[in-house]
Amino acid sequence: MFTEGFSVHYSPLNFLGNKTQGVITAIKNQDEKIVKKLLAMGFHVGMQITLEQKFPVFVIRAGRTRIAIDKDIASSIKVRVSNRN
Amino acid sequence: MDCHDCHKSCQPKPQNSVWKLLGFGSKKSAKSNFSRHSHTTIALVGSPNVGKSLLFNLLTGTYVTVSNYPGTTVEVAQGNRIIAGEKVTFFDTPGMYSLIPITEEEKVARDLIMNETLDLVIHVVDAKHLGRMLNLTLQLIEAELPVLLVVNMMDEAKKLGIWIDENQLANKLGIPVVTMAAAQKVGLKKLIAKVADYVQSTLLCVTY
Amino acid sequence: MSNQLFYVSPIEAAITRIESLLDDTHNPISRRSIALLLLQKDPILSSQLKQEPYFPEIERIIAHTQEYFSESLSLAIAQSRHQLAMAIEQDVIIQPQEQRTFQYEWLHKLTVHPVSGIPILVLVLYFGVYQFVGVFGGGTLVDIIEGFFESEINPVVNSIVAIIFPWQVMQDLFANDYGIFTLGIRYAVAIVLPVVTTFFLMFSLLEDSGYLPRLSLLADRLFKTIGLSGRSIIPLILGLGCGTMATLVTRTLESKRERIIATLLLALTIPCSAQLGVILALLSVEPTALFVWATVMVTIFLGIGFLAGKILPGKAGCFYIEIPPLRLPRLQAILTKTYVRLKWYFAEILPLFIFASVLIWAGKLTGLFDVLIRGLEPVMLWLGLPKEAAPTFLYGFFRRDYGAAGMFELHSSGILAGQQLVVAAVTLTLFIPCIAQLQFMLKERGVKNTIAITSFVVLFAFSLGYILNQLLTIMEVGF
Ligand SMILES: Nc1nc2c(ncn2[C@@H]2O[C@H](COP(=O)(O)OP(=O)(O)O)[C@@H](O)[C@H]2O)c(=O)[nH]1
Ligand SMILES: [Mg+2]
Repeated sequence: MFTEGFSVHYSPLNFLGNKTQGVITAIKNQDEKIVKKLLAMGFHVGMQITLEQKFPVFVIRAGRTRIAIDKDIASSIKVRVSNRN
Repeated sequence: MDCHDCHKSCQPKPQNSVWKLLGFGSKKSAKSNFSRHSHTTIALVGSPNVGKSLLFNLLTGTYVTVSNYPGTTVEVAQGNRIIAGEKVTFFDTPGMYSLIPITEEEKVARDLIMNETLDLVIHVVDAKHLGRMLNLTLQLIEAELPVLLVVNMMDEAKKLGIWIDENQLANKLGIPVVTMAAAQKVGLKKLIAKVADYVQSTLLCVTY
Repeated sequence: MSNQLFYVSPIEAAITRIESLLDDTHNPISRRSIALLLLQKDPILSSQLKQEPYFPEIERIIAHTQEYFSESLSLAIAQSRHQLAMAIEQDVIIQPQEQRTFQYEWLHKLTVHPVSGIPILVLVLYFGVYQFVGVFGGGTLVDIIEGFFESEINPVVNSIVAIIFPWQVMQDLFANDYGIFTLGIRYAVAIVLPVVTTFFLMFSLLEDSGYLPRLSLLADRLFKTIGLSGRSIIPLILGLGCGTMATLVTRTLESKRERIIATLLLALTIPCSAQLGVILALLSVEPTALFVWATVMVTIFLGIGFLAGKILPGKAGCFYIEIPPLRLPRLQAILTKTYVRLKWYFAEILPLFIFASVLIWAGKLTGLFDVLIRGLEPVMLWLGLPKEAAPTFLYGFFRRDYGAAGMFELHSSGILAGQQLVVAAVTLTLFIPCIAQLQFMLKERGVKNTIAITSFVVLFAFSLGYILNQLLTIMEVGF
């Protein structure tokens, strides 16, 4: 599952810094339920997201949607970073 | 294991008419009550927090709790309204994101649409999140359920500069679409008219 | 339909094959849809169809299809759907290039940032729960209405009843110390009504503003340590209003494990508003007492939650919540909601109050209560309480707030003071929830869990009361 490796531009959401923008490249988790949940809530590969906050939980914004997720779920979203500040 | 049993056993007893007042559900289990109905039955479904309960209140005059957070409605509530001279029963459901349920309360909505023959499923979506929410619309269409799409929260969308072409959307999906702002009762008449069309057409089907 | 949704070819092939296997039972949903659900390993459908002779074949098809994909089939299916959904959105929506931000964006930032969010949370709880519900509802309003009952209504009722019924027994049923009117209705109207009303008002305001999801976001880390997720803070806060309602709302939690922990914490540690109002009003005269009570309750909440989280199998539920925009609540909506909840609450509890009054009357009449109370008296002494507190505990079983209200009485007549007050407050808060909550625990969690939780709660309440009393005595805490 680490074919993308830990290269900076292709990392799980929980390794990114605040205010990073990126595109979802994969959604993977041991727990199929979590993947289904994310899919159902409208996350999908190719989606543009912004990481707004990392503590106490991850707050991400995709378009006009804002969702809070814990680290476990965040780690299942792989992102290609498109801008970092 | 009793996750599965629970759903059935925890339907409030019929004597608890106070239930629907709380907004946590109807007094009767949808299951036992309307399997053999002669009148039109319509379910309101959709993601949490899109305005289903508010719309249900407007349509039926039966109060169920409306709140600005997901997870307020945990059971099916039921209420009636006379539309086109016919008694129409509406069901308010807990939120569901997709046909595959994750939590117990999502299962309630799915059970309703999977196990009962409904005359119409009104899918309520938030105009601000149209694309994301069309997911479920597509699934409902795929299931060949009779679907009507309500695009709600148009007031908030307008504030963000968003405009949605209702007719174009109806064409694309091949189902009736109504844009609304339930909080301001905008679009309610239009919705009722569309439902009336529907009621009349099903009546014709039955008669001939 | 002009926009038929097609999936990638291996999935379409699998759909066709599964469709041909399915028999034409009268299913409200299409076979295509059923095939897709099976491909996404929908647990409910899978278990329904498990018995069918063709099910192994379906499993083979699914396994075979999976070989084409590195990701799960659910993902592949969802991906096609998203693409179509997004394409449709593009076609029908007109939106500004530059995305406008929501109203109250700054307020959102303040409420979710831990540095500003936690102080805001503390302020909300302090003003919303303590000041408004506890001090204003449970103090000021209760005093006014209670006073009115004591001076205006009860004497009138007593004398009218005395005229109608010449027999003492019947008089006691309706009036005097434990009568339906003088006790049942009075408690409901004078003590419970103001507290519950103020609580529901506050809760509705929080609900409609959209603050609650933000609250659960802030609480998630802490709640993970007690085997719950941030989501559970909503039923737990609601439990501060009415544990019965809250027990029902635990249904929105993800796993059975979370639902059991939340139910246990609701039964054991969360005082309902009626109880909270009385306790806050009682203890606020002695700040140390209030402090000890609060510390003990928070410690038990975290401690028991932590242990339950460790003992129950499984891991803490995952946390995800959509954050809706903050909205300015409409007064009309809040008032309606409060009114509706109050109506529910009273339809639910008034009969219980009356029932309890009748039961107490019958219990006293037959001498059964005296036996029970005498049985409880040693326990009271063991807890360092006066034996007059025994009836309070017994009635407390019928309704938690009833017990607390009884304490109110004991305190105002000077029987219960200082350390005893703290011990009684803690024990009563921990003690079994009211009958209504018990009834809903049965419905939601089943007989086995309810019996386990209830027996634990009773044992724990008294043991902790004992330990607390010993500790306070040893440490010579003065009140
Ligand atoms: N601005 C606006 N708010 C709405 C509209 N419809 C519903 N709401 C609000 O959205 C929130 C969620 O409504 P609710 O009916 O509980 O949603 P449900 O979870 O789908 O049942 C509530 O705060 C409503 O007042 C609308 O058209 N415009
Ligand atoms: Mg609702």
